[in-house]
Amino acid sequence: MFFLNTLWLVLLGPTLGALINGLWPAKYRGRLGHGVLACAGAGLSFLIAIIQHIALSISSETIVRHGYFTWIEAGNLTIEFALRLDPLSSVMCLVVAGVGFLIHVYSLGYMAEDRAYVRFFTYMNMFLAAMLLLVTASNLPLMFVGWEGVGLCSYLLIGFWHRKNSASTAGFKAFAVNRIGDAGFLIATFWCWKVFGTLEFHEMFARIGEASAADIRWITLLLFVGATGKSAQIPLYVWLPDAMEGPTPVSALIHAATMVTAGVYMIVRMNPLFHQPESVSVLIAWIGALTAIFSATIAIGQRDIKRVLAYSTVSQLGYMFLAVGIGAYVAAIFHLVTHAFFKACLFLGSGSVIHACHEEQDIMNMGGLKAKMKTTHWTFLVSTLAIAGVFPLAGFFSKDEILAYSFESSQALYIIGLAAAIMTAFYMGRLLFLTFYGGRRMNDEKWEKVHESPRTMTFALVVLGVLAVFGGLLGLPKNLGLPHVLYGYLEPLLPKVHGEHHMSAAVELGLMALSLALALGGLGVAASLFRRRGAEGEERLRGVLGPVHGALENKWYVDELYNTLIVSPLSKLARIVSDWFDPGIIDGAVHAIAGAVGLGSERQTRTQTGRIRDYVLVILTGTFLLVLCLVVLGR
Amino acid sequence: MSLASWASAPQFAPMVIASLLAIVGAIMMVTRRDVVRGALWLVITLIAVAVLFITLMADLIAVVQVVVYAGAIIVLFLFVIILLAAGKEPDALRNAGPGTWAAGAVALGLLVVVLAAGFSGELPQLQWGSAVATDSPGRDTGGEEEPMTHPFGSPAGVGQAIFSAQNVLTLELISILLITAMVGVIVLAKGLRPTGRLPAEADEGSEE
Amino acid sequence: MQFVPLQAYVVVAALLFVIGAAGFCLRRNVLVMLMCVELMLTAASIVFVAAARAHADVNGQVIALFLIALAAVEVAVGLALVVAVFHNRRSVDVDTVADLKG
Repeated sequence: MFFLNTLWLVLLGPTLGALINGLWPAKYRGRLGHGVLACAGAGLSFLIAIIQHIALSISSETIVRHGYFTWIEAGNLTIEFALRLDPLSSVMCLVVAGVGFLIHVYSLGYMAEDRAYVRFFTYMNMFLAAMLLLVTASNLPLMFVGWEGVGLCSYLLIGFWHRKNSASTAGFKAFAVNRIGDAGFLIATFWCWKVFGTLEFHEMFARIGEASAADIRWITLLLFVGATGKSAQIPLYVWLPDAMEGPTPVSALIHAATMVTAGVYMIVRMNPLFHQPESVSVLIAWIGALTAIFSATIAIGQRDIKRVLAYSTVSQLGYMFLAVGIGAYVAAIFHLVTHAFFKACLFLGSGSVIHACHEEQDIMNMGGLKAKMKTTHWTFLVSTLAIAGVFPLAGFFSKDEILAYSFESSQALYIIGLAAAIMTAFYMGRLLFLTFYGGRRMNDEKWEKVHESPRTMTFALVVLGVLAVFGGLLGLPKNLGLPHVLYGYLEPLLPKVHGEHHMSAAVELGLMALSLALALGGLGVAASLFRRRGAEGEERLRGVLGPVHGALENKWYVDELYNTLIVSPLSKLARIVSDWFDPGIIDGAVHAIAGAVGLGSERQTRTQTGRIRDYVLVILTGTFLLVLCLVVLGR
Repeated sequence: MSLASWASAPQFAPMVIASLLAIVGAIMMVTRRDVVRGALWLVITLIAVAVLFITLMADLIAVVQVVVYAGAIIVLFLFVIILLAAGKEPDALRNAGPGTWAAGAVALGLLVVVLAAGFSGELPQLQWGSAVATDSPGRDTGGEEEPMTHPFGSPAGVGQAIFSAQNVLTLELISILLITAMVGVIVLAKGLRPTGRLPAEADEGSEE
Repeated sequence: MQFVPLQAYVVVAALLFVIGAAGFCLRRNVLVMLMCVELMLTAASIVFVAAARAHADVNGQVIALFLIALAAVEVAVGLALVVAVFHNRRSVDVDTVADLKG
């Protein structure tokens, strides 16, 4: 079938868009033209992703793989440029291209005033192409290309407003932190090559028996290190909150919906490895759970609307890692999908608010926006309820599935997950009420200018809001006898052992009720504190938490800790090198060579006197020596 | 073979006298301050060399030597000397210094090795008298059937050799060279402006 | 039989050549240097003519003839250059024409 033979088509739109906009921006296309071109590229990808999805569904095959050309050939290492379409990559393509397309459309309105409009859309398309390559790659090196590609675009887009010092620093931080993770990914790739002798996914999985326990342990650990970098888990999560320096659509697309979930995707993709008993799954689960609760606490203390959402993202990613850690791969992907919907919606909503309030990001200076921004308010409300886990919205089902699995797996993990869920409900409630409800806390002059965002922006909000409502239908709880669409779809890729729910329907219903009650409780507390009183409620929260609140505001001083432990010793070392080693040894060597050459050539120039007689003398000397040679040797 | 047997050769006396004259003339030419006198000493050397050619049965070469060298070339030299009024310019041997000694040493060394090379092999001896006075029947020049009937060194013999297939190409090259030199000299001479500068330098002369 | 060895002529030629070479190295007057070149060329032609005689091969004389033509060419061009340089520098001292030094 045509669409199953031309997997590369899905990459075509954004690649062309980035190339045309980036290399050949043209006046006649106008500002809007460039944006529409980029949107068309994203839309084309989405369309093709849908077609491929349908084609795969009706086809008898589950996994379609096509090698297009040999990319690297060295010795007995051959790496093909090969793409792979299977249920997992198909779902990821749909999410990436779909949400990506919506955010492109949203950006038309959001970036309309920006001077670097074309550059923005070029990067966005580049990102989309790289992300699609990441999810469709059929071997580790090609996946790494996408992996690095999205990292690069993330860096470029975080530092998009590069004239702002904080933005370029944040971009640098993201890049540097990701480097640690990428090193892990690369070493894992090398290790895989050593153990399996191939880097194609299906071949690796077929030879999994050849790997020793230590191999599995190290490979999974190193891959997980890669995942913690890209997906912002402890201890490498610190870059993501700073990444909010980028434009808001970027935060929504890259730092909420797609790129940061690459780590989750990668682990699910490599699930045959991670499912081995020797793998580091338990560690992953614990790191995920701890990240979830840790960043949820920080989110409570933040005042910047985007930073709250950023820590919320870290927290939700923690849930996904908790899920993959306990082997609930479908639950992880399910949460990934629903999270993409409601978190993108939340970010875009926050962008809409920021846009309306003229780059105001502090929620303490907002309040009462409900009256002026109806669409934004409604979509934000729906998404908040979804992320808090209120029945029957998307987040309820996906989060509950993770919690149910963790309940089966370990009580401690379940309790941590539940606690994080309460906090999620609380801080999201706080965000919602402080922003949209209560009295306004901004001056009249600003208030006058507040307005609802243009159509292009609200369109994306509404679509994502609808998805946040109905996304849960993809994964209704199985053991209540309801259809779990995603599970049925992804099943062929999963390890055979897992997937049995041992829980009875009664326990399941009990857990659901408990988490729903806690979510509503969290929201209720937030409502009582902030709904009417606003800033006063914040004071009371501060009073209750005492010194802890200060710690929360300062993100538990993790950045300071990292600075003291890692950054400043390194910069001291760098200073020693730059003050002593570099000028002394490196420059010394270079200068010595240059000086020696200079002196030597200066000496030699003296032989060039310019006087003919001296040259003739040299010629005669040469003649003399030649004849001498003839006489001596010629006999 | 002894000095006595050489001395009895009829060409011996002219050869020795001409050689001495040539060497003395050369030394005088090199050491004279006055260029005009140097040029005149060179004439003596060249004529002495022409005499040497005669003793070698190269009559035509000797004549050409006198006409071209002693005639045309030296006259050209004298003409340029007078034109430039450079004759009286003081110009001595360079003050004795490392360069001088080096030049002397190299010249001496060259002399030694050249002589060593000259005497290193079994060189043929020149026979005087009737033994080879009438020439050998000539070499096979490019397959031409015509036997060489002219005596060795006679103008006709040399002329035939020049236009033999062996040498004619060289001759043509020499003619091209002559033409080229002539054109080159004309170009050089035409380029001279009244200011006495070459055209390229006249353009940027203001810099100085 | 009376004969003179070829070596005698080689000695004379070598002496003339070395005197010319030494003069070329030692003198600063460009005209004298050109004359020294003539001397060296003449020395070379002596060897050719003597060798022609020794081998009874007239080609040596032909080469001597060519050498004389070459010498004429060399003098013509050389003197033209001398005139050009003199117009420019007002001197026939080659040491004043040493601009191409390192």
